[in-house]
Amino acid sequence: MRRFRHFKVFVGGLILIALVVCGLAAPLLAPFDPQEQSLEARLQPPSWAGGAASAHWLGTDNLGRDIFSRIIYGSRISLLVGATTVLLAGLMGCFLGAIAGYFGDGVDEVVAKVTEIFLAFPFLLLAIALMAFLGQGVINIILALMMSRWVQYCRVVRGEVLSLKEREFVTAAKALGGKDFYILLRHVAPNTLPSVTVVATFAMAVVIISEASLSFLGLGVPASIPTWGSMLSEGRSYMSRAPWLTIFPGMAIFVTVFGINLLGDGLRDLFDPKLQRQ
Amino acid sequence: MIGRRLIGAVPVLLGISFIVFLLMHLAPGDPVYLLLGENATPDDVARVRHEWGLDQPLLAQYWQFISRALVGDFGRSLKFGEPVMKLVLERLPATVELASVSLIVAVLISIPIGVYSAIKRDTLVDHAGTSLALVGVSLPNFWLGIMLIYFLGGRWNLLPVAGRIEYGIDIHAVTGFYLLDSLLAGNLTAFWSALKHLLMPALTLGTALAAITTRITRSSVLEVMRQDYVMTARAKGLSETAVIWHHILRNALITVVTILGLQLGALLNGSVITETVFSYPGIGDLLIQSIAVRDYRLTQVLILLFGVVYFVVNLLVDVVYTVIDPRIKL
Amino acid sequence: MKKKSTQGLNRREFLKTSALAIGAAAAPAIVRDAFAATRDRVTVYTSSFAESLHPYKHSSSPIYGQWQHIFEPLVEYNYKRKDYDGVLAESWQFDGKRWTFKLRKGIKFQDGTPFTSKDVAFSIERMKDEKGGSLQGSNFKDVTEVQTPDDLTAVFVTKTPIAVFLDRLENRFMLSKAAVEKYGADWEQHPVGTGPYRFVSYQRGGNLVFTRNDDYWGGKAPIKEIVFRKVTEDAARIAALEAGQCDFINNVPVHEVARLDRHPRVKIDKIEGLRMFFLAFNMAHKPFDNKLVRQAASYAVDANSIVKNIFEGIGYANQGPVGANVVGADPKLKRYPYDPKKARELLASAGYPSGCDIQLYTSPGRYPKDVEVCQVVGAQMAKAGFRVELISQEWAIFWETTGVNGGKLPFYYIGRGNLTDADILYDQYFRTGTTKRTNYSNPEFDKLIDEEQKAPDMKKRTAIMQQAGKILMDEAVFIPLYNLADLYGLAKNITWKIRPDEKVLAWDMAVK
Repeated sequence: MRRFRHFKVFVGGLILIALVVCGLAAPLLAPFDPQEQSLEARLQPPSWAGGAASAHWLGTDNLGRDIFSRIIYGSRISLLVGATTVLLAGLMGCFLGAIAGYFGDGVDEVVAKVTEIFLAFPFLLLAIALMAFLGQGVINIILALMMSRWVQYCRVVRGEVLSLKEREFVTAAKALGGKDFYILLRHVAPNTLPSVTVVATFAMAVVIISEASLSFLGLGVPASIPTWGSMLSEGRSYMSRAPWLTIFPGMAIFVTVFGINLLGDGLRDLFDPKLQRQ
Repeated sequence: MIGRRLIGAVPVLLGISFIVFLLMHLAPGDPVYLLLGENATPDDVARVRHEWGLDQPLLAQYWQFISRALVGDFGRSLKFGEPVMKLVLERLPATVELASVSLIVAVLISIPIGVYSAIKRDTLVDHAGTSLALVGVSLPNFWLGIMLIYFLGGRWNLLPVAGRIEYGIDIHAVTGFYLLDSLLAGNLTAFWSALKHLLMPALTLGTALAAITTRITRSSVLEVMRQDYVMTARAKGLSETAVIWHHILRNALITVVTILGLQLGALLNGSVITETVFSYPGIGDLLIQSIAVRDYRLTQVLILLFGVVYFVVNLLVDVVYTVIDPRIKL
Repeated sequence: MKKKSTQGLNRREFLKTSALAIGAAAAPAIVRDAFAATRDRVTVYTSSFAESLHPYKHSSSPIYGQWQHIFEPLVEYNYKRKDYDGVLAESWQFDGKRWTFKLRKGIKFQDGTPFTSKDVAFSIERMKDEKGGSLQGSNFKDVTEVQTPDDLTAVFVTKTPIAVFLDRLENRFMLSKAAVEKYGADWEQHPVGTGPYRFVSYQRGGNLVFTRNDDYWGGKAPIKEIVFRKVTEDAARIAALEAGQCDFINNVPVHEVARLDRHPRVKIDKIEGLRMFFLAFNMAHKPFDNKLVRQAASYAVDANSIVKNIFEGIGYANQGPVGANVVGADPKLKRYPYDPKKARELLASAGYPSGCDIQLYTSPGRYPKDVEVCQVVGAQMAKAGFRVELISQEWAIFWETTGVNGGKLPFYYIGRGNLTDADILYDQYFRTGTTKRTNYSNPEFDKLIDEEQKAPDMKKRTAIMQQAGKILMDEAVFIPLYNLADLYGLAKNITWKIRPDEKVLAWDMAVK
């Protein structure tokens, strides 16, 4: 059933691409300005669900803003926070994992202890403290999430490097007098890419949910930027009166995360030769 | 071996405590201002700060905390005025109970689905199982919680929306776990009430874990199925059931247990949000409250507790290994 | 190793039990919690829940209300009369540095011991003991001693004459000296007071339960038992009320009022709240040092529209610097009308013809719909040429020296609770040097506040405060917005005397 694997990558990739397109082309796609308030047209139901002749496909929120447009714009933050965090955490985690695995001994032990501290530290507190230090903002949220995400990369890369460094092409390069960092970069790093890609995909899914959770707790990005988490958080007390305020942003998070997870699944199956049928 | 592991935990815990201490004290926000409220004048604040020893140098305060903590004295909470340990112990069973029930729910759902998916690999059942797992892991848990409250609690009135037990039911607290206590006392009404209160939060907290465990179970069963000894067992003519039970499950479980241990951190983080949404009186809720007013002492002990739990669970995971597979030694 | 295998067994047992339990839960016949308000019991789900039983913690009015079931103060503010009623005190007298209280005769604590002036002196000592965890000490820092010439007389001796001393006795509860001494360090767990209800049980974050004190000096309350439970999530409180899991909830979000009112078993009670909401400028910051800019901002904000659209019309826009019911309010004052055109002109004449950039600070979740209000304010001000950036801060940062109280926030949205007397607001926000919240300084205004605080009779005080209020409006030192309604949802068969101070008191209720 290779086809199913391809199918997963295909569908997952499609959702991710849709997210990227939404984020980049938000001004073109959104029918309304996401910040445009219209207090007279508050809490209108979706146009297809009795929203009397309204132009709002997913209804309007508590300030009369178009929910569909806000969801499209909201993808920007999810994407920005997701991608940047995954990249930065990836760089940090891969670097530490690589040197720990490659040099071993003391370096390895220090990295292991630091990793343990981060694993045992509730990330929410870390995030709250960082937000308190630095104030709310996109960059700070990325920092806070990065601090909790690099560990996975570190562990995976360390393991890979441990086994890679015994392989002939690495020992050969060493014997030829290659510098350690050159070998790491030229010979070892490229071989960890498949696993790192898989870790990164799953990390992105987690990061998008975490960003939404922080926004939900009121620790996210400033209110002037529409995000799915803060839409949910603002909308949740309207649950009985206007459930679309909560349901649609929730669905947006869900579909996105679902797609990314699907992609990760598919990629892992593709990259992992052991799981392929002989 | 266990001893060495415990000693290894000490520097990590110290590291955590120091980081927490610094973060809390350097982060803006002063508990005295927050506790004194709207009428506080700068004079009042200064006086109370002095009374509580908060005007001493940071390192002196940290040293004081550590030296007292070593003899088991964690001080009094700034917000509640009661001994920190008492507050924590009061709340801890609630969270442990919630986490355990979530874990159990997760295991009960995920292992059968995971194993079955693996055995029936690439069939419709398998795809349904894996898709379900994907759904579970992609649902934001606070959203799920709100939906549950709205539908199961409000709309259909099936389950209580908050708290741990109905008022009017007396439980003689022995363990602090309401489910156990009520069973010990043979009080089924109490058991039923406690269980009802636990279901929604446990579902909220356990869904993601169940999803992850399903996937891990499936892939580790697949992995084991390809091993030589399974082939051998099959070749020997053992029945399929016997192969699955004796050879595949036992070995696949090791990976599953590891992942469960590793996911505990996520479970504790998740408990913070779940307890907030359900007003569930556990330590996650307490942590949010104590951070909000910068109750240094309480926060510090709670975070350390999270750290200790993390270590204990990892140790337990290793112990469980030896039970599942006697060849592994601690 | 043996030990470990038994552990495994236990685990298996445990799993088995849970499997049974979950099987049972999945069965369709799920029993419903059968709460219904009866004379025997009323269950209140509340967003503000007592965090301890120590009544000398600083706290909020709803929590004082919970403690007040057990403990009583000497005096209590009567919102209708706008003056103090005696509770444990029968009468009082102020002369110079002495406040003399005559206590009510024949009052007994719930353990049967009599209440005397010794208990008053003891309680005040406890309140002053900040090391012992009290946060109410500052109220009595000028009290040098409490004399007890006889059992029914307590004399507070102060360093200087304090005319407004009764304010400081509001919510200051009297403990039983004998009980506290009997239980020692454990006294908090065994609260004994003179109140109309006795303490039954308390779990932090769980239930707080009181049962009627049948020997209460003031007569028997109709409800036998009241249960408070902490439920912070709005949606959960509402779901519980609709489903009949509880009988009474506080803080109903305004957008649920219309729907709940149609519910067959539920009704809504409302009253104008004592918290006043406003937008404060800090005049140490540009551009708000400029009166024209402040006036422009005042013209730019449409409080009526916010009340109408965000609060569904359930709110009370302020006409002057304080709400109409507040002591010191001036019915002749009018708020700045909403006029973006005029605002733009003023802004231009202040030197900002192309508009100006400002930041509006708020602490999300602190007040009802705060983020929404600020977003609307931002949009309204944009029409007058202000480009508003909204900044959210956690309360801990917003409130203390890094924020409001450090004078660091140039423009912020805030509410002042329990505002019964304009003096509270004027002194704390606008008098030179009291706080840094606005950094407003005007000797003429300060003088009026000094005079007002020493004025012996209410009429004179009110007149002076009206003068002070006019200055605040002319100078546009802040933008008064509105008071909101306190909204309660309750079972239809409960009647209760709603209070403006957010206290939910069992003896105010009756069940049909």
